[in-house]
Amino acid sequence: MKRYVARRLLTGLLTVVVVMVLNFVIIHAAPGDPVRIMAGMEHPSEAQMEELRVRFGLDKPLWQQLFIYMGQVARGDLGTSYTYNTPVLSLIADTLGPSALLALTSCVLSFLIGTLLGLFTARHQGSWIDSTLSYVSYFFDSMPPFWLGLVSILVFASTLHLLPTSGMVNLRAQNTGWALGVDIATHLILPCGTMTLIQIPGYLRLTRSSVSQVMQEDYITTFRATGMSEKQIFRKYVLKNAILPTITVFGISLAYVVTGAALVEIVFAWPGIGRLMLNAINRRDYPLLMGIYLMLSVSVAVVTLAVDLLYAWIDPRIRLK
Amino acid sequence: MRRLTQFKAWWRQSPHLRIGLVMFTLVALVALFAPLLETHDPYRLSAPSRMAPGGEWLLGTDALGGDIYSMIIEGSRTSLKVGFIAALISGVIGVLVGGVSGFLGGKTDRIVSEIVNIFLMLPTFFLVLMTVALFGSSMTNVMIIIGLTSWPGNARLMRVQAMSLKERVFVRSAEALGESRLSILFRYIIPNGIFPVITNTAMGVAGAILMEASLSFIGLGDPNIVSWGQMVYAGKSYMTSAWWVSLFPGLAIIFTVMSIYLICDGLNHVLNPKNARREA
Repeated sequence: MKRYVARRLLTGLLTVVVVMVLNFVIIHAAPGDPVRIMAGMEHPSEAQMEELRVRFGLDKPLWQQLFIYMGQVARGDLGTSYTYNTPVLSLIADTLGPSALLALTSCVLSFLIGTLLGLFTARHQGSWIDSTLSYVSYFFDSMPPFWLGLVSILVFASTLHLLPTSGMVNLRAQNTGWALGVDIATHLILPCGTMTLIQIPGYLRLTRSSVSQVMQEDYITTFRATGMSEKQIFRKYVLKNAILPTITVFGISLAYVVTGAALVEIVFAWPGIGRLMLNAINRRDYPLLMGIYLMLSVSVAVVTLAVDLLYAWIDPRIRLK
Repeated sequence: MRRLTQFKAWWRQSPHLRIGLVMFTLVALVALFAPLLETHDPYRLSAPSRMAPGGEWLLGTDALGGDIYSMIIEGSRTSLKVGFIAALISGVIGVLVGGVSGFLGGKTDRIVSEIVNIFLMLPTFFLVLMTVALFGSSMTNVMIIIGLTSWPGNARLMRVQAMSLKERVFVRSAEALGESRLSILFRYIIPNGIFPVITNTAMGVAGAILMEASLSFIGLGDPNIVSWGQMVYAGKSYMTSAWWVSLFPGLAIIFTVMSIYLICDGLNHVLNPKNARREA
């Protein structure tokens, strides 16, 4: 177990280092002067350029600059966004709550609905419901999430006037307490529904194929031969074995919880990290963009690591391999 | 001839493969004969702004006066080009890296697979996005960057294949006969182990099409080229007054991506020895 943990920790750490190096290389390999890129404008003032040169040690050799940059990141200093005039880290921290709310809700919902639908189709393999659901799942799988978001705004917000088009709260209402919760929930329905619909097909197909695989195992045939009822076999033996891969995928999706919803956040003007990213791109705010990429990579690495360790703890086959 | 019978058997076996191939052939034909099918020049903005579908402009016009129908036809070329070139780049790199690493084994393999593991953990979309934002959003850049960031999955598949193939008798005999390692890799390991990579690369075509659409949607598409993603992006501000601008190109993306997914699913089905045995 100790060796397994150490190895996973090392990979996680290396990933973060690789991300820092990638950030550094991209900035320096991109066409144009790094100073102008970091300042986000063609003609930064002398004072700005001087500050950046000192900060990143731009007169020193490249490898020293890399270490300076890595040192700053390690101290939690991701630089300052020139368009917001605020430290990058605090900008990102402000968006994490809304992003996590949207992404976590849709992760859990799609896991539950997808797995249940998958179990249902697996029980009714070959039926018309099974084949219809299979094509519907491919349809949603092929859909760009942002497009589904736009269409759902068109249908439910602008045509039927059932739900708000965008944002997280009704700014005019100034709600507090219980009313604020209801307000956020109504704003959450469309973006969360979009994300959920997009993620359901994966769970559906995985559960279906995993169940039919387990059904073909010899021990299931043996149970059948003993005359055990089909229902009991399914509940007691198939379900437990077939659900494992689904839970694994759920774990992986938790790692991408913050990154996955970025485009949908943009469509619904959800005040999360996706919208911050869009602003960073539109305003050429590269320190902010690099900071977002770094934070996202770190969060993916950390959650993957946590999920891996949790599995190793649950399933001895993994840690002993 | 034998290949043809094999294909016929597959065709009969999987409805997904059948439907997917028909859909994809349609997209490919549209892309091939695009100039004949277009009713207006997709790059000329001559029509009135935001005309509803029907009449002279089959699927309406966008805010700048482009004909949606002709632009969708033209966009098929863009999507297929991005998809195939990006997937090809990622396939070639994946096969070479995975093949060499699995075949050589030892220290090389340990280092390479650690690198692959790290790359698999990186959030690809954001890396592509940041690189395109900094290097400029030309079509060539987009294709190359998608290709350069999506190879680790292919490498992992090829590596496993190479590891199992190198223990097989025919590879061992070639080794005993004194064939060079390079020649063994290219003549035996890669041709025999490439099939899972091909299916994965086909999925990569769909992935690249979706990724180009996503990049276009945040304004990082090539402004000199008509693409479905950019059409959706252009229509997003007019969703309530001119829904057709975003709706139709989105359907085109879904149709194309779905055809590829169905083909891949069908291929996985017919290539799975378990299913083949049941058929026989």
